[in-house]
Amino acid sequence: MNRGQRIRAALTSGRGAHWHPTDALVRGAALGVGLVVFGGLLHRVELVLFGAPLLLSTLVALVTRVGGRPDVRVRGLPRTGEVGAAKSVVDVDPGAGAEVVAIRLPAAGGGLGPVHLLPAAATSIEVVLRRTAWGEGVDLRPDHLVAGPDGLFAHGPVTAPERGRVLLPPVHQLPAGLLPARARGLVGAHRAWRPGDSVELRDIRAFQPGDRLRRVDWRVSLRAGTLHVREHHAEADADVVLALDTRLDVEQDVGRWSVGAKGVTTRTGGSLDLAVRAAASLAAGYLRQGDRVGLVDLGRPQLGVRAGAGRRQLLRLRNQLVVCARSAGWSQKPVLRAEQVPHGALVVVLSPFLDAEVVELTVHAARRGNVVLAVDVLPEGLLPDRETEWGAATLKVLELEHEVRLEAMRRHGVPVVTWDARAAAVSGALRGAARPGRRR
Amino acid sequence: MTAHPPVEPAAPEPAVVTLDAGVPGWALRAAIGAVAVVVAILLYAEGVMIAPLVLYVGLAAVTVAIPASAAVVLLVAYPAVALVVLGGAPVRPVVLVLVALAHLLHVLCGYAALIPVRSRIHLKALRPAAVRFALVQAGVLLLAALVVVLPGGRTDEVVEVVAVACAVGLVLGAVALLRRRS
Repeated sequence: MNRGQRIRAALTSGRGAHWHPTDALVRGAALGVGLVVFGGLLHRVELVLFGAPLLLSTLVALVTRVGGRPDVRVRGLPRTGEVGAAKSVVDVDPGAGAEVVAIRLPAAGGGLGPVHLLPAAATSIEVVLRRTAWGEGVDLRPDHLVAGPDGLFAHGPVTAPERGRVLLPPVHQLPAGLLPARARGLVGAHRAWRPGDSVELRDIRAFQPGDRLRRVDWRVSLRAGTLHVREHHAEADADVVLALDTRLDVEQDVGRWSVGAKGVTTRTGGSLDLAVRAAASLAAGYLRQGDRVGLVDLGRPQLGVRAGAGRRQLLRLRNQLVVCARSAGWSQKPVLRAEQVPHGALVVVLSPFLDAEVVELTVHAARRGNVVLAVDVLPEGLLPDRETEWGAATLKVLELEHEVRLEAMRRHGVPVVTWDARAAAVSGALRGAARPGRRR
Repeated sequence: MTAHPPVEPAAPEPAVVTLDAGVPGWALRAAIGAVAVVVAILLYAEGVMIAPLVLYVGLAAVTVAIPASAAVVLLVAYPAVALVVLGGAPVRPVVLVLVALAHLLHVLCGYAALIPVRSRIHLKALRPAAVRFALVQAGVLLLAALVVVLPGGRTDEVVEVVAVACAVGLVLGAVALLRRRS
C-alpha cells in the first residue's frame, strides 16, 4: 500500500470499493470471545450464554467466503426521451458470498431516490424513471454497498457514475392550417399569393396568350363577349423561422428574477420554458403540414438550425432547443441577420419583450418584408418583489413599459399574441395575417 | 455451400425484479429503540436501579442515532454485566430472553449501520438473517439445557486447565481470523 492509498484508507476509515470488516464484526468478535472467556474463567454461565450467539454469528460470517468485485450496470436507458415515466433495468452482480445489496434507485417521488436494501439474489431490478421537466438531467445514480451475512463484511459504499437522459420539450397539438405564409416552392399545403393550380379562385381576367384553354370561363366569356379565364391560387410550402430569445428567463415572481434556478435547465413555468414549449409545438404543427421550419437563437446565433422539413427536422429542432436552453444567458444584444431568414419566410419571435433591442429587431424583420409574429412569453400574473416596499411600483412600471413595447410592435404591423397552451391566439393572428388583400 | 456453425443457445435472462414500496429505513432504528426499552424494563424487573437504567436508555438513544458507534458494545454488554452483578440462578427465563434480545440488538445494529435513515428496506433481504438468528438462538437454548442437565459443584483441576487453554485458543483464533480477513 503506497502513501496515497494509506491516506485514502485513513480518510474513509478503511471503507470503499473493497471487501472490509464492519464495526459489527469487531463488536461480535470482541464481545463474543470476551464474554465466553470471562464467563468460563469466572464460572458465570450467564456471560457464556450472552457471548455464545455473538461468537457463533461472527464465526458464521468468518467462515462464509465473500469475494469478487460487485458490479452494477444500467441497461435500457436511451439518451433522449419524452417527459413522463420510462423504464430501465439495473443489473447487479453482487459477487460471491453476498447476502444483501444496498443500492440507490429511483422511487415514486422521482429524483435519484432512496437507498433500497435488497436481497443479493435480486440481480436484475426494474426501475421507473420519472421526470416532469424537459432538458438535461440525471435520472439514475446507482450508488451501492454489498454486505455479507449479518452485515459483518461489506464492499463499499461505491458512488456510481450518473446516468441521465435529454428529455425533449413536449409538443402540444395545435389546430391544423395555422398559417399560409408566402410561397417558396411550387407545391405545398398553403395558398400562395401568385397564380397556380389549386382549386381556390384567385381572379377572373381577360384571356392572354399562353393561358390554357381549360381555364376559360365560358359563362363569363359569353356574357362579356371576350374570352375570360379563371385564375387560381398556387399552393406552396411555407418557410418558418422560430426566433427564440434565450437571453432572459424570468418567472412569475419578480423578486426571483435575479436569483439563479438550481438543478434545472430552465425555470418551470418561466419565460424560457414557455418559449421553448411554444417553439416545439409550432415546429411540430408546421412540419406536420409539410412546411420547412428553422430555428434562430437570438442570444447565440451560432446555435441556430437551418430550415428543413420532415420528422427528423422536428427531432433536430427539439434537441437544439434543449441545447439553446442549456446555453441560455445574458448576451450583449439580440441578433437576427437577414441571411438567417429565408426570403418570404414567416418569422415567429418568441420573447418576453423586456428590452427595446428585441422590439427593434422584430420591427426590422417586418420591414425587410417578412411576415413577423411576436409571441409574448412573459408569464401572466406577475407578482411584485415582497422584499422591498417599491416592489409593487416597480412591477407597475415594468408592466407599463412592456405594454408600450407591445403596442409599438402592433403599430408597425407586427401582430402580437400571448402564448397559451391551446395556441388559440396564435392561430387567430396567423389566420388574420393570411387574409386576402392584406399587404404583403 | 458452407455449413453454418451450430448456434449456442443464449444464456437465459435473469428474472427482473420490480421494486415495491418496502419498509422505511427508520423502522430498523425504531426496532433498536423498542428492543432496548424492553431490555430496560426486564432489567428493572430484575432489580436494577433507575439511575443505571437512565444511562442505559441514553446509550440506546445514541445507538438509535448512530448505529455504527461504540455505544452498541455497551448496549449489548450491559445486560450481561447487570445480571452477573445482581446474581441469581444462571439459567432462568429472563436470562434467556435477555440473551435473545442482546443478540437481536447486535444484528439490528449491524444492518442499521449499513443504510441511511431515509432508505427503504425490502423485508426479503432480512429473511436469511432471521433464519440464522433463529438457528443460533436454538443452539443457545440447547447450550442452556446442557448447563441445566450437567451436575454442578467443584470442577477438577485438569478440566480447569483445559478450559483456560481453550479460552486462550479461542482468543488467539479470533484474532488470527480477524487479521486474515481484514
